[in-house]
Amino acid sequence: MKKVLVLFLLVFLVGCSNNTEVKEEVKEIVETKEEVSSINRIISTAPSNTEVIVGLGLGDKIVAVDNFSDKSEIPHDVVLMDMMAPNMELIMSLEPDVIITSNLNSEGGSPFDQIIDLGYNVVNIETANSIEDIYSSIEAIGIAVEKEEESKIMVKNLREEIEEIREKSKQIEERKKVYFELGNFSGSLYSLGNGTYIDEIISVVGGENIFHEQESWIVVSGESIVDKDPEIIVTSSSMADSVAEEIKTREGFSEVEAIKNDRVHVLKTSNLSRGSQKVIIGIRELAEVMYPNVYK
Amino acid sequence: MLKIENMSCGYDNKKVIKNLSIELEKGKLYGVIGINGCGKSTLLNAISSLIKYTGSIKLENKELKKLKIIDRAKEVSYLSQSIENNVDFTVYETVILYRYPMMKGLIRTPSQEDRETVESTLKKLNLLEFRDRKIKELSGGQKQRVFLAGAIVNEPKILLLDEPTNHLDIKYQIQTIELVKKIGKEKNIIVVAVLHDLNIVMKYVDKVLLLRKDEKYIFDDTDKVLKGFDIEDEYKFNIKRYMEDSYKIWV
Amino acid sequence: MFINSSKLKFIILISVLIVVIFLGVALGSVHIGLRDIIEIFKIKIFNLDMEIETPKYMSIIWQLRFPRVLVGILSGSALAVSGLLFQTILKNPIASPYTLGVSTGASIGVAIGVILGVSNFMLSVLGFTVSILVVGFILLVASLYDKSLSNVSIILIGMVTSLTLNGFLTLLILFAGESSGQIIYWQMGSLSLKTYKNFVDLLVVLVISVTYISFKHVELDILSFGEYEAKKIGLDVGKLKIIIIGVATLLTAVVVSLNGVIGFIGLVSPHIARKIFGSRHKLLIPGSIIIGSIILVSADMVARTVMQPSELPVGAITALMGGPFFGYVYLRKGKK
Repeated sequence: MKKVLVLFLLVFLVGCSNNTEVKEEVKEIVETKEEVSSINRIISTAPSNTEVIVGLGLGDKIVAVDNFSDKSEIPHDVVLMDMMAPNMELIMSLEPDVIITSNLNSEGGSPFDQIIDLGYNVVNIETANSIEDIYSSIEAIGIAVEKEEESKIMVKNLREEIEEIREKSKQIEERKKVYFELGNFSGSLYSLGNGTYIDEIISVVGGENIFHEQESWIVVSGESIVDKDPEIIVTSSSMADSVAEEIKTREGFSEVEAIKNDRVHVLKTSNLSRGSQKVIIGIRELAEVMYPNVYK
Repeated sequence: MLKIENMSCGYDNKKVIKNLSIELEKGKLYGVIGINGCGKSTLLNAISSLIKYTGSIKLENKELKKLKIIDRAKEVSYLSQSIENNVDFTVYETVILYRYPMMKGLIRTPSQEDRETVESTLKKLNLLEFRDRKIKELSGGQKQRVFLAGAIVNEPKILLLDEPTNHLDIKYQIQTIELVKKIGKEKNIIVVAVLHDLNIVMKYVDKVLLLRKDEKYIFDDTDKVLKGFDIEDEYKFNIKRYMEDSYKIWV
Repeated sequence: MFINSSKLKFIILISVLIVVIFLGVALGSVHIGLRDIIEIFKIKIFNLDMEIETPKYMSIIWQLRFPRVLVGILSGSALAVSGLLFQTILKNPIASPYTLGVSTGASIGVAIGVILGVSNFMLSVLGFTVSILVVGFILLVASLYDKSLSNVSIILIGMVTSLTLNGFLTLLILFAGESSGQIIYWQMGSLSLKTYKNFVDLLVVLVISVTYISFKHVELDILSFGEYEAKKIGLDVGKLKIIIIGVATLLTAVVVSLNGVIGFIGLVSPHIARKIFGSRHKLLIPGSIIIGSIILVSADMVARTVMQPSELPVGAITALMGGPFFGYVYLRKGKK
């Protein structure tokens, strides 16, 4: 109802005055709209969602986050919570207007079921399994925090940026085979297949994920990597030098193209791991690392 | 000679045997008798240093409790009533393990001498025909002989036996005690046997130790102890009369 | 009449092991033809100076599979010997290398490492250190509680400690949040990416330990008669226990810190060895070693082939073997 009124006013004003006046009126209305927003206290339980909320300008409304979210743009006194086993009483005492959860938080039944039953506003954002999913997540969050317009703009920008990269990738004559390693944990090698947005991103950027035929997150054998002979190996880690060194000297990998041609890249940013509007930073870094001639 | 002087021992701070002083000679068979709980097994445990004792137990002037476990095992052998047996060793394999304290070298493994001693011991106890049979397959009496072989294969100076004839039928009971007495004499071993069967005691034992709860130990020739007053007082039973009556039935 | 039937049994077992080794190298998540395998072996064994048709196959066979099989052999051996020692010392047929909490200790060390974000090498070091500390702690407390260090006391204190530590481990896993999967996956045990260097390190530890244990085979046999009887025979049972538990713990801790918690091998290999060879440790020690190797290398082979190109952790395979094995052995007896 409020929206209709605002629109009506807008149209009326546009009809009655010149542009600068309209801009100022719009700004006033938008500001008024902000004042009457019912979302003033937000809890976010996952890093990607937190990024979106901050990107939508509501960083200062966040009252509690999970331990892993980036805290640089939110109030100092924000409460940190373990979102695998959330403290219900603490949540209630914070009087959140909305709780944005991620299905990462639930292992068979959300730990937040209890608080939903108590009538709190809980919005669950499913894990993004594709680039479209990332767009949907951003919009869903936008609706939940009453920033729908802004979220739509955010998605539009992101979409443009990604399509720009997709266009550029058409210049690439031969798509290179890529092995994307999520981690080497005591010998167990984690990678990913189709049904993940990183797999899609690799295609967008012009590469071919060697495990594209597998589904979702997988543990792969060293020999299957050697057999598929990737031309590029990508991983991301805060311990860049030691990780790169470990992969380059990994026993049995000496005949792999990527090792022979010194195409082992450790991404400096961690943005690829979060399905937010900032994923573009990770995408750009991946693109530049894989095809410097095309993307720089 | 085994000299026990003012020896006391027991479990959990409760002394079962108090101030025992006796002397035992080589080549003799001693019987330890008494009512249940008077400390017969406890005495054997003390002599073999399996429990602590106060006072002195000296074997040819060597204080037993001061010996290392393995040195004590060279001097004292202890044959129990029954031995846990869920292993499938053969007779030979079992007896050679008992030769352990005599095995030489940093790595204790059987030498030629050990093997020869085992063979001769098996021969002496008529066990050669069972040499490679699993002890699990033997009868009670045969098994007993195997562990008796184990008890003498380490050439001990003292042989302790805890009710060695308990679970055997009468033929094996007699056989065992006769064998033990013979070996004791031949090898000049001090043999101390805890026995319940007073007939066997009467017939084979040289000297009897009657253990009593109030320290009034009796240590004397068999005849004197078994036919004396103290034993009746201790057992609260007229033993002599019972035996005489039994004899009458058998005749 | 079997002349030297033990020798025959060993020959058969070693033959089985050789077949298993060959299969372990020939099979994997990547299909490599028999011709290529034979060619690769010819080149390596006879040191030929040929160029292999497909160099990546050479990498896979010689640098990924073969060292992995070798590490599997040593790991299986170490776990089997450790299991044998625990079963003999504790006189408990269901004792395993993990009875005294080595696996819980190592898991806690690794969990702490995962939370702190340390390197893989440090994870191994932490796992090893904490597992040794846990067992040392249990032995110390048990000796204070019971001077004679009876088996009942050891097992009791071991159980109480393990239960408490498992609770603590659960908390750590919870605290690890997103990384908790790493800890759980590590716990399942894997031989993936094991190298020749791992093989050599393990070999040194194994050779020293097994040589030492072999010297004690008479003492171990004597223990079969029970501690009471063993003491009578002249064995310093208390001292022997601590030494043997120490060696067994060291073997287990090394294997676990390298590979994770691989179950079943240490429990089952001595059982099978006993059925084949009897009770004498002179035969049981080498017997368990060969059997442990066979089982682990076989299980790893299954782990590598059953879900290509993915690999399962080998501990997941061995865990599944336990139930049916014991069901078959013990329920079959009951049926009579």
